[in-house]
Amino acid sequence: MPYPFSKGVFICGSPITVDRNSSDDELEEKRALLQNSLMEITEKADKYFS
Amino acid sequence: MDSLIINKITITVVPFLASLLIKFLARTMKLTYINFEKIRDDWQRGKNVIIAFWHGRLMFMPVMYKGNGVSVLVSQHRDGELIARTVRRFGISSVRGSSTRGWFGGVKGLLREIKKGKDIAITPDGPKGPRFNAQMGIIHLARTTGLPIIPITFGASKKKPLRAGTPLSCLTHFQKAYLYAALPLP
Repeated sequence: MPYPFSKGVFICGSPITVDRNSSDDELEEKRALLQNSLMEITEKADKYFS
Repeated sequence: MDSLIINKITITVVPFLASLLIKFLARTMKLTYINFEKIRDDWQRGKNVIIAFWHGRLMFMPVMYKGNGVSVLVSQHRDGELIARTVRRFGISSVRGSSTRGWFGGVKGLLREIKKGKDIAITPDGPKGPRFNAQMGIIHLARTTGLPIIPITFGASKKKPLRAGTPLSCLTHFQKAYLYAALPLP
């Protein structure tokens, strides 16, 4: 929970689109991509002010 | 004391206090937005998106949202009810359902909201976790609807570390504090 009068940062990752005809492997690839993207931007956000 | 009454009070008071707290904090904070060009463009053109963030970063998301209307997927547990009632105070609606309980009901509700022209917000690591592990549901939704998933997160310069295992400890603290206050002295 942030402190009052602290600084905050919102970060967007690159958009991820999923093709309608994706195979199971491709769906899993997109899932991993989303997971990695969220990990990456969250780490960036946590380090942003340090 | 009748636990039903305490429950009822909790479920009314906690979301109210939580929303006040979030609004107060946001007003005092200096907020920066990075890489928001794409989503702002989508909002301006009225193109719908699926917003994804970790469950643990949920608290400040109502502050970030500047689109034309969003519906968030929350669990059918009581925590979900607390979240649904909290975000409602920011003009955000919710769909109940999760991967563990009533996922299909959730999907139907989400598709209905998208048809209405709303964005969707989902925590892909669900309320039950495992934390930081994206579940497949959001990928299927993106495939079915063709909408892009936009990953979003939040960080703060100074924060109170959340108690281990309680990503929503802000709400939980409130709830506990209120429960203590509501219990009669021995």
